[in-house]
Amino acid sequence: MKAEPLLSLEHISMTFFNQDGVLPVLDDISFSLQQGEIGALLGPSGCGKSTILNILSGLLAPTGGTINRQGTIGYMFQRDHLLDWRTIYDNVCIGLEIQHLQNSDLHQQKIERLLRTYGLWEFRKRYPTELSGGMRQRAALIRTLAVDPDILLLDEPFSALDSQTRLTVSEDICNIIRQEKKTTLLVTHDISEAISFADTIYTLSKRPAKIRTTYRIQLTTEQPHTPLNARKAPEFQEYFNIIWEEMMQDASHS
Amino acid sequence: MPLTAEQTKTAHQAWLLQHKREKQKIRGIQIFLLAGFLILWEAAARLGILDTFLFSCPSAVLQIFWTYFSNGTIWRHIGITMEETFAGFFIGTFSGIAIATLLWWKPILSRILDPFLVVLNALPKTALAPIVIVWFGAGMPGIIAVAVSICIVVTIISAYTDFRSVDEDKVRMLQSFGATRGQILYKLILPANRDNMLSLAKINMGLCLIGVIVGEFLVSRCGIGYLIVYGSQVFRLDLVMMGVVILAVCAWFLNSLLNLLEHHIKKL
Repeated sequence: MKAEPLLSLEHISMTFFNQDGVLPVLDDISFSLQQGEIGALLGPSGCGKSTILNILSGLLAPTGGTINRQGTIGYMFQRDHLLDWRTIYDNVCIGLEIQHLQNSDLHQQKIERLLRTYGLWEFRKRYPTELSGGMRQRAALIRTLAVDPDILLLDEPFSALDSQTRLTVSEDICNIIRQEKKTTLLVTHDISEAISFADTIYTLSKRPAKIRTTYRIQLTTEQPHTPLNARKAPEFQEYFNIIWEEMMQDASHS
Repeated sequence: MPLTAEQTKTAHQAWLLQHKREKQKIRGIQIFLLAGFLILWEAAARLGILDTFLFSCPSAVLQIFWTYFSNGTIWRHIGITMEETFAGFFIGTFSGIAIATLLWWKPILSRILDPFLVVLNALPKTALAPIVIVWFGAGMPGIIAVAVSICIVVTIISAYTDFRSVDEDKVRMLQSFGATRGQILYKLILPANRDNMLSLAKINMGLCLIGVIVGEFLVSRCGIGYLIVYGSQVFRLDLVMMGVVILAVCAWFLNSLLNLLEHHIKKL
């Protein structure tokens, strides 16, 4: 018997209104995430991925459908949004400050553990401008993890990085997420990123978006499941080709 | 071949010396220009090329300054003008920023007030000075009110624009942690705009000085603006010139004061 999913969307639709008329963005979105699962929403730019995240995090109310959410949401953005006038330590504490938890020993210990484990402890008194893009993105993730969210939403978290740092940072972030056993939803337009990161991929059609196909990714890697090792798995290319063709088909249907 | 340590040191010293010489040269030319201007003015006045009744001359300005200085009345005039400027500056800057905060807090308010602010901003505020003086009285309160009326609208509009220009995604980042509007204000909006507020303060100080002088022109018994307008009414151009020079020194002093403050705050 399957456990109750941590997050599930049922027939979510969303329509925006503006001066020029009506803009249907989401048509019929249904999917769910189990405890500890990493899911990816994969779709072309402008297909409404961010709208889904805004609905999930409660910033937007959907026009139709229902959301079931057990637990709290942590959000990681495209850019790190570290505040320049705060040190790295004060930056990762900002979520706790907002929730008035910054003085609890438990949370202080947690922050120290996260900073030490992920190589930022020596840099805790530095300012964001003194850190590389990869370190900044790691600090942003620790800021999100510090408030201990049950579900992590990643909104194209690597797209602002150059292609080389991108690989190492996604390796970093994925390892942190797997170590912390966080239930995660990754939103991306990058096929390889989705395959190497996620357990399950939902492909989205063009606007108005609906879920086209669900892929359960099963890769045979001997080593730990990290994005870099995943890319070496024999099935990686197969998945890539299938998904690529599907997305190309969708793009030519217009 | 790379330079030896000794050679590098010599080269550095040569560079320092050249740098220092250049600075001295610039300062020398500046003093020469000022002195030349004063000497030419004085000479032209003494030779009868300039009519001293219309243009006065440096020695007469110095003489009248000495009179005001030795009997101590000059400090009363400077003090009054400074007091009014500071009062206008603090009232205008703080209430302006407070109103901008209110507009940021309630965006519907800013949409309602937008056309009024635009018109008020475009209007030359000196036109309001006579009305303001009638309302607040022909004395210090009226003059301070003129100064406030000149700087407050600019403060509201610039501060509000600065507040709005903070990255919307950073606001969403704080909201994702459940931040209230107040927390967004003092954890993000205000600290992100620290430097903008400082440059706004500098502009305001200048605007307030304008407001105070305009106010003193209209109604006053004391102050630098009073000296200038009184001097021109009784055709004592030496008094007018002295007023302008003192005003320039005061403006320079206020600006240095704010630079000092800026330096201290940025070091924090």
